[in-house]
Amino acid sequence: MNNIDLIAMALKNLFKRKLRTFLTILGVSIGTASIIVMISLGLAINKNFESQLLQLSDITLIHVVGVDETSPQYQTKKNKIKLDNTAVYNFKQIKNVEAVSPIINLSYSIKALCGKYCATLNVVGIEAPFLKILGYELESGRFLNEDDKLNIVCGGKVPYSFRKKNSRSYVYYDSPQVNLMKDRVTISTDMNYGEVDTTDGNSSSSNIKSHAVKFVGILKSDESGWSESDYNCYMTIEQTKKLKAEMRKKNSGENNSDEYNQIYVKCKNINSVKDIAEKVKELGYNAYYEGEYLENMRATSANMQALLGAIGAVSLFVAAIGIANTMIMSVYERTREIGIMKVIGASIRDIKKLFLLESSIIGFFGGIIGALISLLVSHILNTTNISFFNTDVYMYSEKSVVSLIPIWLCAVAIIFSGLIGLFSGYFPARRATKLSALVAIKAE
Amino acid sequence: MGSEKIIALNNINLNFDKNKIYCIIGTSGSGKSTLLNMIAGLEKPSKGQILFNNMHLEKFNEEQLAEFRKKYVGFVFQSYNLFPTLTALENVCMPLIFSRVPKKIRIEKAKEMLKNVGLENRINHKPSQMSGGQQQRVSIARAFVNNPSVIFADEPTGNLDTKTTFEMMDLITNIARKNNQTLIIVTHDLEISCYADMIIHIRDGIIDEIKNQKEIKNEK
Repeated sequence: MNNIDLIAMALKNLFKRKLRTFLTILGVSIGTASIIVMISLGLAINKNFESQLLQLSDITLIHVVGVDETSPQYQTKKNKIKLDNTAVYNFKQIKNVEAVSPIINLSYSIKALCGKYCATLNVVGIEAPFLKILGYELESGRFLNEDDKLNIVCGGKVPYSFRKKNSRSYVYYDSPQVNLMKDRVTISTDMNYGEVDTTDGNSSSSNIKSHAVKFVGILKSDESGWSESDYNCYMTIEQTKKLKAEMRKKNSGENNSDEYNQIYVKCKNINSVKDIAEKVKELGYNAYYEGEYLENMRATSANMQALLGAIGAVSLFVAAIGIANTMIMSVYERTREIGIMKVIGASIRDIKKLFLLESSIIGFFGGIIGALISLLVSHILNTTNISFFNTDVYMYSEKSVVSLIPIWLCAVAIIFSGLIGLFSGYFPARRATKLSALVAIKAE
Repeated sequence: MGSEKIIALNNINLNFDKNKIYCIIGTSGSGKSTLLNMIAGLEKPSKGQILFNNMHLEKFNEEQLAEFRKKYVGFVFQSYNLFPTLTALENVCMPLIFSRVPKKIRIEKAKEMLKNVGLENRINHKPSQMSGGQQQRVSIARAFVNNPSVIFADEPTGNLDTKTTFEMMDLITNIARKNNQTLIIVTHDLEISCYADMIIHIRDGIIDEIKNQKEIKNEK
C-alpha cells in the first residue's frame, strides 16, 4: 500500500464518521489552544519582564547602602561593621564578584567656576576603573586613571548646568555655554565662591581656597531617558576624600570618619546577583539591586504559569483520551472491515499504519485548529488588553503584551498534538492488527 | 466446555493440482470450512503441513501469510464481504491498492474485471444499491482482479436463488479456466459439484471419498 493511497483511505474513513471525527478534533483543538494560550501568557510575562530589566540602568550592580542594625552580625560586633575599607575588602572576597568600589558622594556641595559661568557640582568619588565597569560610554575625552588628581569625568548633562554668575534663576540652555574640556575651571567647597556677595559688594574670593581642576572626559548621556550618571562629576576616591576633609575642617561639627556613603558591588553575571546580595546581607549590611523586586514578581508569576500550564496539559490529556476512545470505537465498529482487508491482502503493517495515520490526522488537524483558535484568543486578549498579572513596574512601560504567540510555539503545538494523536492511536492500532481475519469476517 | 478438544479435521491428505476446479462437499460442521481456511492461510493447523509451491504455510507468520494471500489467493464469500461504503469499482480496486498497483492501472484493471462479470453499468453503485447476485459478482471481480493462482470460494452461492446460482457458477468457472487458475469451492450443494473436476467429500473431519468428473458422470 503506498502512502498516497494510505492517506486517501485514512481521510475517507475519517470523513465517513464526520460527526465523531469532528467532535474528537474539537476536543484536541480546545486542548491545544488552551495549552498554547497558557504558554503565551507566560511568554508575554517573561518578555515584559525582560524589557523592564533592560530599562533598568545596571542589573548586575548591587548597592550596599548602609548597616543593617537588626542583623545578628551587627548585634555581636557592635560598631565594627561600617561601610569602610574592611567592608570593601570583604566584599571582594565573595565569589563571582567582578569589582567593588566605595562611593563618596559630596552631594552638590562643590561650587565650580568657569569664566562668566558657575555651577554647583555633584562630586562623586569612585574607583578609577569603575566607570568603565558600570558600562558608561564616553562622549569625549577619557575615563579616570588611578593617578588622576584634580581631574574630573562628568556626566553628559553637567555642561548644561553652568549658568551665568549671580543669576538667581536656573535657565536651562539648549547648548552648553562652557567648553569644560578646554576652558579653565576652578572649584571650591565654599558655596559663595565666585559670586558677588551682595552685602559688601566685593568678591569674597580672596579668603576662599580654590582648586584648578581639569575635565578629562564627558560621558554619553542616555538619550532614551534618565541616567544616574548624567549630573555627576566623578573623581578618584583619594581626591574626593581630600575635598571631604576640607569641607569637614570648615564645618568642624562633623566627626572625622573613614566611612563611605555607599559601596558598589559589581557581579560577574545576572545569575550570581541574588546570591551575592544575600551574602552581603549576611555580613550585616543593607543592600539592594535593581532587579530585586522584579525577581520576586517573576517567581510569583512562574507559579501562576505552572498552574495554568497544568490546566492546559490536563485538557490536552483529556483530548488524547478522546482520540484513543474514538479510535477504539472505530476498531470495534470496523472489525469486519479489518478482517476483509486482511483477507484480500492487507498486511499487518498496512492496517497498523492506517489506524495510526487516522489518529495522527485527528491530532494534527486538532493542532492546526487549536493554533488558529489560540491566535484568535491571543488577539482578543491583546486588543482588549485584559491583564491577568500586573507585572508592570513602571507605569509607562510601553509595549506590554498580554499574550505572545511566536511561530515556533504554533509549530511545536501542532507537531505535539500530532504526536499525541499518534500515541493515542497506538493501542487501538495494535488491537486492530491482532484481530484474527477469520473471526473478524464472521463477526456481524 | 472451553477446554474440550474438538477435532475439526483429522488425517487429511490432499493434493491440489494447478488449473483444476475442486469442490469440497460436506454437511455443516463436517470441517469443510476449516479445511478451506487452512489451505488459504487463514487458520493454522495444530499438526501437519500445508505446502503451496513448496512453501510451508503452517510455518508462516502473520506478515508472511498476508503477503501470501496478497500474491496468490483470491476469496469469494457467502456473505460477499464487500466494503459497504465503497462503490463497486472501489471495492474491486482494494486488493490492487494493497499490492501497490498505480492508480491509473488499477482502475483500468478493475473496470475490465467488472465488465467481465457483467457489471459495467454499475461500477459507481454501492453494495446497498445492488442485488445479492450483483454483489456477488462484485466480490468475484474482486477475487480475480489481482490474477491470483488460487481462488477460494466459501459457499459462494449460499445466499442466492437457483437461477443466479448457476449464473454465478458459470461465471466463476469460466474465468478460472480461461486464466488457468485453480478454483477450490466449498459447498453443501450437490448441484454445484457438477462444475468441478474433482469432488472431495468430507464427513466429521475425515475425507469420505474423492471422485473425479468421470466417476461422477458414470454414477449418473
